Amino acid sequence: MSKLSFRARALDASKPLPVFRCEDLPDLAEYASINRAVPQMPTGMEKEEESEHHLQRAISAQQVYGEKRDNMVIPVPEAESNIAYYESIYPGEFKMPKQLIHIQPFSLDAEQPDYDLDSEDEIFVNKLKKRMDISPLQFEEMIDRLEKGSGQQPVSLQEAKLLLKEDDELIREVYEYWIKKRKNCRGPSLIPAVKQEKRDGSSTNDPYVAFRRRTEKMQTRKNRKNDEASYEKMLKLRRDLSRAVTILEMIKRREKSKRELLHLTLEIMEKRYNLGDYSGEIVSEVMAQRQPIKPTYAIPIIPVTNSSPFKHQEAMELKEFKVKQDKPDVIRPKRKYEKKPKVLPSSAAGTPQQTSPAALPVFNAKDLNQYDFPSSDEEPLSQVLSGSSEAEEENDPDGPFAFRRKAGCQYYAPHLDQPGNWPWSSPKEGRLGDVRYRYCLTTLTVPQKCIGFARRRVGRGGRVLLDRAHSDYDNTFHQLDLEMFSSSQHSSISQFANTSETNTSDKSFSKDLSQILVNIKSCRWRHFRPRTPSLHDSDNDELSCRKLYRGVNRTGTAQPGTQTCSTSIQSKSSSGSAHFESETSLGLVHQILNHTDDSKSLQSSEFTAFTAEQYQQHQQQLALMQKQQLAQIHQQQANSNSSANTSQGFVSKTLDSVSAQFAASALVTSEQLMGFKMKDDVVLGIGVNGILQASGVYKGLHLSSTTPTALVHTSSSSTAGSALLQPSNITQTSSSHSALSHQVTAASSATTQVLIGNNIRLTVPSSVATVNSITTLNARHIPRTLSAVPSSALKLAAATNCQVAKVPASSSVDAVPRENHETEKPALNNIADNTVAMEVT
Amino acid sequence: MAEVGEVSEGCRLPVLRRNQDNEDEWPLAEILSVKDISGRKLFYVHYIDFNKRLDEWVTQERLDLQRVQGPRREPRTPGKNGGSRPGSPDRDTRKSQDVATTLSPPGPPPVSPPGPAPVSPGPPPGTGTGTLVPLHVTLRWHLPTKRKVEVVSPATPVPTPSETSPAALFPQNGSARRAAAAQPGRKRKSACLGTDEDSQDSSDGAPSAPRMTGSLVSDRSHDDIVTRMKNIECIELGRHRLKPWYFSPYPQELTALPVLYLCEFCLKYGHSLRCLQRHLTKCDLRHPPGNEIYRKGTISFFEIDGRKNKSYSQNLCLLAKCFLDHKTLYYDTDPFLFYVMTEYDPKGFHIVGYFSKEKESTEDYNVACILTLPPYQRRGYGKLLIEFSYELSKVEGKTGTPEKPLSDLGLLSYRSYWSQTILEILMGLKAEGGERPQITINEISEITSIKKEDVISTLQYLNLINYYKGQYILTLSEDIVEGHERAMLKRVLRIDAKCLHFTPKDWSKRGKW
Repeated sequence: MSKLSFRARALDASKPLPVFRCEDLPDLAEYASINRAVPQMPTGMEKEEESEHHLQRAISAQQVYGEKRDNMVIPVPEAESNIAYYESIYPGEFKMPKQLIHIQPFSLDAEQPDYDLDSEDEIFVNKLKKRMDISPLQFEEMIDRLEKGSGQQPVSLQEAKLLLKEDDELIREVYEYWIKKRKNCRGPSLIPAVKQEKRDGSSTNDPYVAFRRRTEKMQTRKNRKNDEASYEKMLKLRRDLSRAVTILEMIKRREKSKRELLHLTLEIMEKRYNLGDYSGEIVSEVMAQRQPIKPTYAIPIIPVTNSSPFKHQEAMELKEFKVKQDKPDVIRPKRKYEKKPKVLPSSAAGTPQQTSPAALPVFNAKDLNQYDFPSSDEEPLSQVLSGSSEAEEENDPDGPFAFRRKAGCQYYAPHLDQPGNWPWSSPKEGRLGDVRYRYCLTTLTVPQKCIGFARRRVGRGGRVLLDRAHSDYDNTFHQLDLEMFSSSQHSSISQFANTSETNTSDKSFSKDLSQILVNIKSCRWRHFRPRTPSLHDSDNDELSCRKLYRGVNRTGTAQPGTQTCSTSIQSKSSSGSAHFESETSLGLVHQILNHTDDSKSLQSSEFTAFTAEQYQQHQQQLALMQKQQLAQIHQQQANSNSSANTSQGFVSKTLDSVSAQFAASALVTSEQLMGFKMKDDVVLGIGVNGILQASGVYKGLHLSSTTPTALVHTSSSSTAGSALLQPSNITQTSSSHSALSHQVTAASSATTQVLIGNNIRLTVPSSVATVNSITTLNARHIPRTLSAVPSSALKLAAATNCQVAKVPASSSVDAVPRENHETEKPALNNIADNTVAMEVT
Repeated sequence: MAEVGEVSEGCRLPVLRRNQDNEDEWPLAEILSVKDISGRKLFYVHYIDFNKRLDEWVTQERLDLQRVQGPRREPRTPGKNGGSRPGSPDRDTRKSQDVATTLSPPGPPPVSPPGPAPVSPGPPPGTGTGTLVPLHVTLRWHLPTKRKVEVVSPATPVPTPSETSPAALFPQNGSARRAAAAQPGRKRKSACLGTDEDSQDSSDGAPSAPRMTGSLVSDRSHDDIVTRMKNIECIELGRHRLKPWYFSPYPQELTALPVLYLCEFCLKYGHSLRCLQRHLTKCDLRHPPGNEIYRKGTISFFEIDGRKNKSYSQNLCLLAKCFLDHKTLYYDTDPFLFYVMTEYDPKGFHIVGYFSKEKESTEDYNVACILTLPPYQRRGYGKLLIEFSYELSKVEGKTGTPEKPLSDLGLLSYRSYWSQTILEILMGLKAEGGERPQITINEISEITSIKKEDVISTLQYLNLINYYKGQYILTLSEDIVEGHERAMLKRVLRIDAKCLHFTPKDWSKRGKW
């Protein structure tokens, strides 16, 4: 039959099988022969048993008859179910509860003896009962204890007496009975129990050993993760608890010490009282004798400049706390921090100011964590040597002001026995004091008057604070003729600086006024006159100046910041030279600024003399002009403006070249710039030494803040040559500021590296706050006009950029286009922009 | 004619046995043990091709001393353990002959060619040395290696002994070992003796412990003469007296007792009725010490955790072992849950049967051991237990299968349950839209929680699968339908899923069972 020639397919469990009645398929039999294609499933029985007689018979019977016949069932040994005494021995009725039975865990462990008394025992107990008081249950309990107390060997009578609570005689009786019975017993115990495995494993083959413990865990891979996690948690918990223990220990010691101190003080008081030392003479005498021996706790804890000198040491040993034992009071970390601002100036590379708020020490959680243990006095030193990790530096709230250890350097603890190294204390006293911070005559611009002796310091946000000192000459000073001083500058300080004027007495001591004047004039007395930072006209057009200022002030929140910045720079940047003596250099600047037209000549000749201060001034001016420009809407290219400055484009051009020059000079005089950098928190993040070592969060910002500058340079140089390059600039510095850095890297992937290289070189110029803000603002608004950038243009830009960086002196050209950009941007001074810009700076 | 004294362990001879129809038979039996009680000799006989549960102590009157076959094997090097399992060697050969001849199995033919045992059916009785050396020593020394040898060898088809192939095909379920045990005798005689011996002696180290999963032993290397014999004569449980079928590791000192007394609620064993009475004054259990998860009418199910309630679980296992040949009590009960079926009467909840179940089964087992106590057998309780086990699997959303090997009764019960369950579904199928009703095997499996393989084997066993015109179909013959309907009429005890209050636990999430 052809039907049989093919092989049946494998049975597919997921394929529907139609169900037929056999009657419907009369020809089924013809197909039956290929049914064997379905593989036979094993029965699951042991093969040998499968063929057992009765089973086979039952199976065949079932197949034949469709059901089992009674005589075809598998015979099993008989069972009886007619135990007559069942009713009597099993207790009576048990009512079925309505609810499903739910057993309480551990409710099964009723304390009942496992031993069951048998008839032999019963006879004995009954006999014993006549003489002593014993119940069957009591007997069972005794036997139970004896059995369970025995191992291979039965317990001795002595042990039995310990095990049992009954009186000795009863114990002896029962014990003897038990020993006798146990000897006759065939099993190892009177309480029959299933044989346990022996520890040595020799019982492996004993068929009577059952219920062996499973030595291997069945499942080990599950929950492993969990276990690990919980293990770690346990470790942590343990550590924390041990810490708590240590802390408590320390507290205990402290309290003990306190008590001791109290007792001692009390004792001293008593002694003094007894001695009659009411005036304290004796005590002071004694104290004077004791003076050389300095008590440990007299040393004030002043942290080294490192912001985190008190790191918790994991392996802290108790001996480190021994120092503390002498100390009655543990100095708390907070206190240390309070001291810190005062201490810092001495270490901040000669810069006394902690200007920016961000640079102020801030508590953060991490710092607090480090104070798990108040550390001992010795610790700061030891830890200074220990070095801090990179990560900590990144999180350092002090940012650029953080003290960073250098490898190979050894740091000593501060000289704490000396008073603070305040900048105003004179070197004669052994301080590093700077003359300009000492009290000197001070004249304010608005209102124009001499306020007498004052010293400056920089407060928060760059405010200049004037600490006034009272002198006998105050009155005289007030009357000093301002015209005497040839200054025509107008100080902005009055607007921003908080003079900490305390109303000093108006008592006038008209002493030798002329003498004083002579002294002042001959510069024997220093005289501080705040000067106007933004002088742009040699003819001292006061009006325009003021006007400008007003404009500046109007521009929004950011602007004052900039102003403050610059002013503070003014006040301090000319480190080393007395401020009022820098008039000449200022003059020079003005000259430069004013004679913008011949900027090129200026570059060559005078830039060596550039200082940070000058540059700052220039920048400020730049900013001012920019604001002005914003006020008046400009188109492209440098057009004539209707402002006081006739040739703004040129001015700005010059300014830019100036900035470039400054960059060059700054590189040389980076040392000088240190103070300047310190002030500008973000840009300072770039690195103290002019190296790119942005810390933490600032990294990105730094990149973004610097690149725009570079880009501006690029674009400017390129616009000088071709208009094509303008677009390139735009894409690179696209819309929002935060995205700027990304954009730069993304858009100009080909050139980024170059740009970064530029940044490194241009670090100093780019770090100038104002420049940055301006350029970023510029950049932000450019994208509107632009879309696609030719990569060639980009490359060109990069190339030119390089050039710019390398030869800043010759790049007066690129100053012009850059200014063009500035002018080209529309009014962009919304506050948000400004804020962002400020963030960058 | 042999003397009674010459009849020793390992001898085979016809033994008188009364069958179910009260007829006398003289089936061949093997003497497993001889004991002497007050001058009278008793022989423990195993009827060949009958289940071990029918083994019994007989007096010499029932032995047909005319036809004694001496122990098959001459004791090998006497210094060594002396031999192998008494008498087993030729059993298989004979059996296969018997099966082939007298009992042509009605089911589909086994996979291996059912060799009619062509080769020498073992040496004739006389071939042995003739000296009847009592062989007490167990086989276990030889088993592992022999087994290994045997399992390996059939890789190349060995034509001669018919038993080897099945042994080789199912090495995991113990038959391999059995067959292997049978083999070496002949083998030794034939050729490969030397190497065989050597490898045995060298590799036979400490016997390995059985696997730790499951409740049924598949590796019976620990099987020895002790475990082949019933050791408890009678167990009194509640109102019942049970005759154990197999060995159970109750404390050895209790095996000599005529009756072992068990508390029917906590299953604690005692050696005397007085002990039981005393115990009953202290034991206040009236039901198995677990949570009742099912109750309908008088039938209840209790769930017992083998880890939380060790003593009950162990006592239950000891009792169950009396009726389950392949159950192993080698390891503790921790990884098991025990579902005890009880029947209520005013005295309490009386145990009827139980099944154990691994908390986590790696092989889809939903039952490890299952037992209806003998007094309740043949009354539908077994099927009820099985049905309940599948109800649990349905709640768990899994398919399941009983752990192997099945016993003869287990196979019959399961087949019966599977058949009825599947037929119930097939006959309930309605034609849709004029088309033939159809169903996939997977669907059946999903509906019933019966594992796919079991569905297929049942369909085959019932001869329902047919290959017809290029596709498989299911055919229901009239006989099948009628038989099923009759059987279902008798099946009154059913599990009512609504009465089940069961939430499966995810045991893998717990550290231990």
